[in-house]
Amino acid sequence: MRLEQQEIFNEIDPRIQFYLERRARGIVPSATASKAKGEIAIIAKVSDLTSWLGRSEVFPGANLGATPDGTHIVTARVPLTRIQRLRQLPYVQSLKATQLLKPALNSTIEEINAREDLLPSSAQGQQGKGVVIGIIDYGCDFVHSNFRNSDGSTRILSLWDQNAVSSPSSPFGYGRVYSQTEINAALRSTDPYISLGHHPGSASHGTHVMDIAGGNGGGSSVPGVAPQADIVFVQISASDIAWEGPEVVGSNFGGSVQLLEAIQFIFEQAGTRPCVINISLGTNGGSHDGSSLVEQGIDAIVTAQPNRAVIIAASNSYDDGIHSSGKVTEGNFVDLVWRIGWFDFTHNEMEIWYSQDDELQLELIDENGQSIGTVDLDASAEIFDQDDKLLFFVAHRKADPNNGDNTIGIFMNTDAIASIFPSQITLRLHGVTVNNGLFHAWIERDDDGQSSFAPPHDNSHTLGSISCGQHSIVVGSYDAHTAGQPLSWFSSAGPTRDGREKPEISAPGHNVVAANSSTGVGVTRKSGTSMAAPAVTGVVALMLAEANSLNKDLTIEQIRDILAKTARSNPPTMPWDDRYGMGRVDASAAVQQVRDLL
Amino acid sequence: MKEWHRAIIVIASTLILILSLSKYLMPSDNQNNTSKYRVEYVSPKYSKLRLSGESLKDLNQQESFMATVRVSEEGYVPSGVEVRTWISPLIFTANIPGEILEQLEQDPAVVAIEPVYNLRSY
Repeated sequence: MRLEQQEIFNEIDPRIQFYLERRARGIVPSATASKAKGEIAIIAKVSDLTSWLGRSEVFPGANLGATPDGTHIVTARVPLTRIQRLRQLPYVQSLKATQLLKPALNSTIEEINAREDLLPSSAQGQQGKGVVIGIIDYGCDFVHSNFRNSDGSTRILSLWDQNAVSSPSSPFGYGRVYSQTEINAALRSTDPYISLGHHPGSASHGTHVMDIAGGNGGGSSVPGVAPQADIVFVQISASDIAWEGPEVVGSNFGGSVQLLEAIQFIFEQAGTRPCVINISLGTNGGSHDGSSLVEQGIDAIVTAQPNRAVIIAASNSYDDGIHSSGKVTEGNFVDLVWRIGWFDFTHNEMEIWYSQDDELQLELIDENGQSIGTVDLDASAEIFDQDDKLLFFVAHRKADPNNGDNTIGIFMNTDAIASIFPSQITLRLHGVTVNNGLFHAWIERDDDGQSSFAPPHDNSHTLGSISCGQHSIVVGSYDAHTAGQPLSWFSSAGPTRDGREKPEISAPGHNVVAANSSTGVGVTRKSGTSMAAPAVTGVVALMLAEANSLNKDLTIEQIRDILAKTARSNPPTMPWDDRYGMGRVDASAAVQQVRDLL
Repeated sequence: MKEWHRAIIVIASTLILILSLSKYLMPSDNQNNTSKYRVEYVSPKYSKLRLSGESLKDLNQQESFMATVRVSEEGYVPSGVEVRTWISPLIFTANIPGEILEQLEQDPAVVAIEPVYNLRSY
């Protein structure tokens, strides 16, 4: 009996053997989006489809079609405990476990000419060696083989978990920094996550982003863009999220103050080494002219010394209907219709920005056409319903301290019951004194129930709140898997409100397969400008490494110019496209340009 | 014409005139005394403070808040402000007690205050 089992075991696909061996050690496959706990996904070749589908343990998937010999290729989810029994059935000719997505990052590094054999043969940068890549994100899987050297030691120089319990040595007084020595010690333990005190969660955003920029393919077999770079990771914290407990797990908030401190920390860690930081975070509000203090802070830091860059994702809000613009003339008005929805219980907020040379009056009108009230320039108002419940706070402010423009903020009182809010509000902008007349309005990001303007939408100027700085480099997303490299439907559009050409560049951000946290070697698929930005971060690391190998410095202006000059067209067909930017990033040409320049 | 006829004509004319003018005096054709809403005007405060839903909530609920601050003099730190870190000679992150906001508003060396706001992944 024992010998017979072993014989069947050997006839099964090696990956299924792997699962069976793990099961024998008490390790049960975990649930995923497509299968239950204890199940595995398989591809089977069966000669009797009816009998196969009649098996109670088979949860059928797709019938991929019949082969010339009359058998059928089908997918299914089956309990691991029944796999040997199924394999013994006379009409089951083959069983294969589905494979991990192996072509990880192939599309990205091939499309942007970042693969080692596609870089200039004269390149000396050794794929980012000597450069520090900083990642400010959520969930750093220091255990994943893509971030470890061949001897198993970590490639991460330091990990600052801003959510960790503080100690007297915490940078800026909070969180905890795990040094390379501490990470290596944890990696030698039986449970590195518990040993270090940092768990990335599953399929974390930060691990995926980090792999695109600088993974070495040690686990997934395909490296990221700059696989020889060193890494500093900051797990960013938010100001109003619990520091411990279930809220922290899977949290994807980060505070703007903590972001600036994270940038400062990474550049300090890098010291005199070239350093490029990736930020795949943002929101919708703000002046969109680079004058926010976060953007001014980033500009100040990257221009403080050469060999520094900050790369920021453009945002994914192109198709969300969150922007509107127009021109008001004196004595007339323009209406903006803000659709909130009857059952929108989440936060809603809008900002309108217009020239300091104009004076507008805001009138709010409800869904029945009834005027709610007016708010003049340099006035604020609270709007109550008949039961004296505060519905809105409106601030119509003159001369913003950072850019001098006038701004209107409309804030829903989230403590009120959503059903008492008008489901649609018309914002009527009356021209009192008008010299310029242009205005832009943005609805703040609300992932739990995004409100929008009534269509038709003006999807221009949809860059994120921190993506309009003077010296950051902003990245849009396209699909590298489809012929013609079309834009990703979500990738936000420029320009900035003051008319500057951002995003600067674009990269693959659609269906990108990269490291999957908590799997050791596995990968997962994600889409977003979050996935495009780290491709450019990796390219900048290659550029900085090339310059470093020649003992030369690169300023942020030079980095930007090189990326722009070497960007590929067709697409885009314009010198600057409001979503592709100057074009699609070209790692090989950018590295060559560094050599030519220096 | 009798006196009371004249009086009726004058009153009617006045009413017609008032009704005619009312559409210019009121912000919208549909605003009336049966409005479902009440607007209460409040004095604008803190012109140097960037407003957001989060900052309004923090100001109402917390004694102090985190912010990024820009000043006009290099290295200047207003009294009562706890510097977290300097980002540039003119920009720093800080912890600010809500009670000193009025003082910061009057301080000519304080250019702008941007309370912390949350960023999300794309």
